[in-house]
Amino acid sequence: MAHTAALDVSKFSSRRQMWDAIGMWAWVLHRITGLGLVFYILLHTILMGISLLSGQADFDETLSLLMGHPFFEVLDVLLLGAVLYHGLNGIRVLLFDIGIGVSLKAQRRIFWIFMVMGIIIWAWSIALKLH
Amino acid sequence: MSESLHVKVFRFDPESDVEPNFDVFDVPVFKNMAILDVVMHIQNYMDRSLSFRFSCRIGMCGSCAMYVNGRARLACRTQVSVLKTRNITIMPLPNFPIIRDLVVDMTPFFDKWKAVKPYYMPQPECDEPATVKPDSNEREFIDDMLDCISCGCCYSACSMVATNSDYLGPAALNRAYTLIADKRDAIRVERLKAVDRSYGVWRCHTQFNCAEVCPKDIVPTRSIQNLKQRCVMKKFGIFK
Amino acid sequence: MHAWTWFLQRVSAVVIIIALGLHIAYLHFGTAGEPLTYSHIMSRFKMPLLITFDLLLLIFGLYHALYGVYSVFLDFDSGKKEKFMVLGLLIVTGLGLSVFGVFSLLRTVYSI
Repeated sequence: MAHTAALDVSKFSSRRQMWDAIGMWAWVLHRITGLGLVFYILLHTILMGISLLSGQADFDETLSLLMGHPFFEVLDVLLLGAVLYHGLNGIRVLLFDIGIGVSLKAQRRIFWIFMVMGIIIWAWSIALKLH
Repeated sequence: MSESLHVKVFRFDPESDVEPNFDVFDVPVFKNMAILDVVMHIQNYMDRSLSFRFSCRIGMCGSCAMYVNGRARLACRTQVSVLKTRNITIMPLPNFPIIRDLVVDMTPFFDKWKAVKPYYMPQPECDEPATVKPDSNEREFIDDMLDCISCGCCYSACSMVATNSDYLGPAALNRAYTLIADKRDAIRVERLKAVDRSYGVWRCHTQFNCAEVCPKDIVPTRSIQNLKQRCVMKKFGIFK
Repeated sequence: MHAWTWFLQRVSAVVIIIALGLHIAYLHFGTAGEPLTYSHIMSRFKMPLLITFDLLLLIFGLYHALYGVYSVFLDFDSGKKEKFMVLGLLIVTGLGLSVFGVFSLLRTVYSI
């Protein structure tokens, strides 16, 4: 096979990710919850707006369904979970932005501390809801 | 006592192969064996056609970076014992085009390296040597980041490099930082503008993958965070 | 431009943390455990602070969300035309929903 002047380099290249690093997971979950919350905020804004503009009767009917039906109660719990995760990891990112915790060990530690806080708050909220 | 390692090595020769595949070798172990010893043994005694890069063997040149058991590592500085298993899989670095076997094309990496003008530019009006005390705060912060041997491990670990082909990457940005943070350099502002791009510092989302794999224990994330701060402060009219 | 938008993303994050906290607290503790009703919303006109935070939540929430989407988009390869179109779409969505949201809330509370 004749050799050309320029090196004919293979296009094959792997895009393997670092799934064994907690910082990677923190970011992936931040993204997933973020996109989920975007979907929610768009839905919520449109639905609330339309319900309000539809007048008292329609609004009250829609809201009592959304806030009473067990299916939506479950979704609400998941929503809270997403908000807590995204918010707490978001605070972790804010700490990095002001220069706190920007080292391998510190960023891991901060992540776990916030996750424990998140689980506690989530559990407490679910308990409140069930009462 | 012959214990041996069960080694799977990525093979691909674009001149004769249509697809990559893995060759398996049983390599005898010796005390303090490093991954570089493993591939050298294979090349010397088992398959002369195995291609890989190495040079200094002591973690200074950055040539022998490879993807071993799921992580980018320097082959000469990674002891087999650290992997805690007999089963070893060696692949070329991710995020780089593959030339052959374990040899990757470092061109995109170095193109981005060059894009930040990675060399000190002296100030033209300086009559005397500029001094920054070696034990000063600013020196200490920069010092850690200077150890970069441009091995490419960080670049191969970064998810943003994987998805965005324009992203400058942790090594180039870290290098840019060492010069932007250096009071003596003449083109600091120009350099800051070069990294203040959507394909520059703003693509970093503080995953810390780069810090996880750096064989020199550099934390490019910290350099990039500092650069982001400087970009914002510059907008407010502050540049230190 | 990117430095500003990134900085605003952080500012909006802080605003959201506070405003969302208030929003959720009100929903839970301010409605005596019953589902939210139209008259609850109307009664907010007695609490202009609450309206303010709701509006802040809406505007900054939309900014934060849509900038986040743009950030995800930029993380992948794309051409100049695609960047322009996506940015345009996000700005239109943001402005549109902001106007819609502000209008619907103020109309209810102040019966405009």
